[in-house]
Amino acid sequence: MSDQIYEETSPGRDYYIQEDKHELYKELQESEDSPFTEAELNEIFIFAVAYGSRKAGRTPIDGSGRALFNRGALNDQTLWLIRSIAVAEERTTDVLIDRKQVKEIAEEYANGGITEIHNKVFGPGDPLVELSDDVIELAQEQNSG
Amino acid sequence: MGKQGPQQLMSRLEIRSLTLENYRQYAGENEIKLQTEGDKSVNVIQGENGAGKSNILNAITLCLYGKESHIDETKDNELESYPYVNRKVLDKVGDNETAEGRIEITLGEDEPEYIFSRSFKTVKLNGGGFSSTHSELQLKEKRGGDWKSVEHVSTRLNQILPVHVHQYFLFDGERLDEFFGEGYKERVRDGLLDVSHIELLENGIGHLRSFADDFEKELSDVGDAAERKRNRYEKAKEKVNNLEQDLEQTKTNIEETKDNIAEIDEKLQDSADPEVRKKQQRREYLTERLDDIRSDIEEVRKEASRELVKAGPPLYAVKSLEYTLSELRELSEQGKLPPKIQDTFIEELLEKGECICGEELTEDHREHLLSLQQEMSTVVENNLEGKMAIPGIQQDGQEDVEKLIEKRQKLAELEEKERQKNKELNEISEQLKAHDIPEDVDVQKQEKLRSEFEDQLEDLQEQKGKLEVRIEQAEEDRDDKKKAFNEEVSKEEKNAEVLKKIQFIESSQDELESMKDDIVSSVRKEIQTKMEEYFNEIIWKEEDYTVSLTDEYQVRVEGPRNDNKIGSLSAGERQVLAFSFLAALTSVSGFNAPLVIDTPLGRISSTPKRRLAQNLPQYIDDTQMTFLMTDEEYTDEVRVNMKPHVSNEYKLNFADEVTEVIPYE
Amino acid sequence: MEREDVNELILQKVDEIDDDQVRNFVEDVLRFERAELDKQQPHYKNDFGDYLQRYIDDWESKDHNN
Repeated sequence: MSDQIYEETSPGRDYYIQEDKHELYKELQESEDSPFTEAELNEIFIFAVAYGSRKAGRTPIDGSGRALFNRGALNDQTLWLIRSIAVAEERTTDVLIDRKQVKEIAEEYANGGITEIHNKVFGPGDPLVELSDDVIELAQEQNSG
Repeated sequence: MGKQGPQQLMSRLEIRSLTLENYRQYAGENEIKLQTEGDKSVNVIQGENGAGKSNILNAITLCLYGKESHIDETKDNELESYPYVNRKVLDKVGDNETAEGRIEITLGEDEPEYIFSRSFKTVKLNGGGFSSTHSELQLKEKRGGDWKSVEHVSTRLNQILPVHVHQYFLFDGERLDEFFGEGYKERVRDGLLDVSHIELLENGIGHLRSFADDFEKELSDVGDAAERKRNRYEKAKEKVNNLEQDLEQTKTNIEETKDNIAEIDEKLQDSADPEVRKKQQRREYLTERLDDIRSDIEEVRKEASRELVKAGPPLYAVKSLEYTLSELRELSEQGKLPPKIQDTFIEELLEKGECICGEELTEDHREHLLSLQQEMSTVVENNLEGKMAIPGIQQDGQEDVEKLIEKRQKLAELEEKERQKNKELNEISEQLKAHDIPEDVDVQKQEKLRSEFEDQLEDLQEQKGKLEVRIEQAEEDRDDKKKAFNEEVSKEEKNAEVLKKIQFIESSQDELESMKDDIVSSVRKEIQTKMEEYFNEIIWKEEDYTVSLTDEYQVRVEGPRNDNKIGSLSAGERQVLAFSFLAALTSVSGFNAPLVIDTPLGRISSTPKRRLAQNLPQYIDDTQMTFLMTDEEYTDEVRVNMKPHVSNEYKLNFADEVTEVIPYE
Repeated sequence: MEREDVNELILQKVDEIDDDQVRNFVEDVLRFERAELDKQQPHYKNDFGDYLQRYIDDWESKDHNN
């Protein structure tokens, strides 16, 4: 249990990304070679949050940011995914009360994650194969571990 | 002409008569009456191929469109030496003299309304060859009881049966099963675009674009800044145009290369060596299957991507989820809740009315505790929810991963099939390149050439892909420069009006673009529906088939025994499928024109022939159909089954280089 | 037989256009295109200019972001 005291805060309704990374989201949605062509922006965001929490790091948003979607786009399951990432980050469930920080943690992981995903998709290799191999391996680890 | 409703059974546009004067096998004047009555919408002309059966179709297309659609592979392959005018007639003229003939088609609904005619002549050359020419199409139209010559004949014809649509009404049944052979997707797409009248929209869009461009030139500048921006914009526009031209050229080159390959394929098919012919056939089969497999691969990749997007987050976050779940469970067991005050403890305080320190609770205190409690309740609820939600996420994640694994396996199988087929294709090519048995066709040389063309094709297609990407980028750049220019220019008041016009035109252009997309999509769906309807009605099987037409123009036929790709249908089934497609096109096209089909039952074996003969006339009951059939097709059984629908029956008697058209019985 | 008109499917889509002036203009343009369908180089600018004049004064542009 950490010693940090969390204050109750209200997050805004919108989820923000770094202004100049909006292009990355668009390219992932529009490029033929991308596995994300049928995904909504909020789905790509969540993917980036999770991916970032594993493969990148928290990258604070540079500048004022740009709203990508609002809370209404997320369902309970997705919210709990975001919350879990915050809890694991801070190593305590206390952080849940600081809803602003929970959102910020997600946004910062997404910020790092989206760049990595973009590099993966537009770099060499088949992104569908590589990413799905990744995910399948994680599942197998979990089952055997 | 909109589509005729079912109530107007009597009024269909028909070929009332066809007159052949000295055309090929038909010496003298031969008038063939073809008008039908009521339910009997069918005409049958029976004859063998050499007897001039296919030339009846050729006569119609020659008359209307100046081209014969079906060239007989007779000994006289050179068009010059295969004269239009009948041989017997030509015998009677001397060297350097001409003989003439004509073809006349009378069309109308309840009475004659149009007479299309075209004359032709053949010159007998010194030394024994012939040279044929034909004249312009003429048209007389009946108006108010009088026959009047029409000036703009092709415009009128285009309103009845446009050039690019006619191939769906006047066609050779034997080529039907070729229709769904290699490269069918382009044919399907072209057919679809043809009947969608898309060119109307495309013309409109093109014209509007250049109309707007004119206005842009009218914008007067506000000095150097604007002029510079105009220049940049103009350059950006030019870049887009140049790239588009390059793309068009590349597409043309691709088509040419494909044609070159097709030409070589035909030559190889004609090889004297049966081994060569077999390999070529096998190659064509493999290529078709490859096409299907590639479409499947695309589809499965899309499916796998969907699963990846779903499965990714819970798996990448697997540790976070596990950690959080265990934390929540622990807290729950310990009865502890964040942030450090227990809900029950607050409850007690409230009941007691005193604070921890023992002092009495003031109103403020009470309110504060109550709000804490409420908040705690929310947090409790939330946390309980988390305890239940997280396992749900993990579970769904696992299921999605399983589906993902499934898709990946399917993908691997398909890719293996693809590899195998490619391998075999390469082997065939190598074998043919090593073929050195001398014969008419220089197999080795042709195959090497073919390989080169294949390589060229690959390069061209890569080039096409790159150009498409560059065009997209160039368009974005152009739009940016345009915006900058407009901003600069709108500072000048008198430009406001011109800018408004440009905006208006562009809004209209946008509407046309989106209409185009919508229409192509809805036409595709309608054709799919009709195709499925017709296929199931005509096909002789008891089971129900699902026919689908994807937005990449792939056609799939699925029966209860599952996946029936086009490649695995029998020749007869493919013929019926092609027929269904063409019938769907004609139905959707809104053109209610007569059908003329040469050898409609050609490839179909006997049992299904009966059902086909029975069903064909019924489902296209508001269209006149003229069938040109061989003796093998028009068996007694077929004749009996068709009888209720037949208005006119003729036989072609060919003797001594002349064909006579004789009514049955 | 009457003069050919623009395909019904297209006319239906035209009806769905919200903006009155744009809709009428588009209809005029399409009717023109249908009539001139087989001409190689129809002289459209004059006619389009006329059509434009009919509607432009009443038209109000919405804010376009492109």
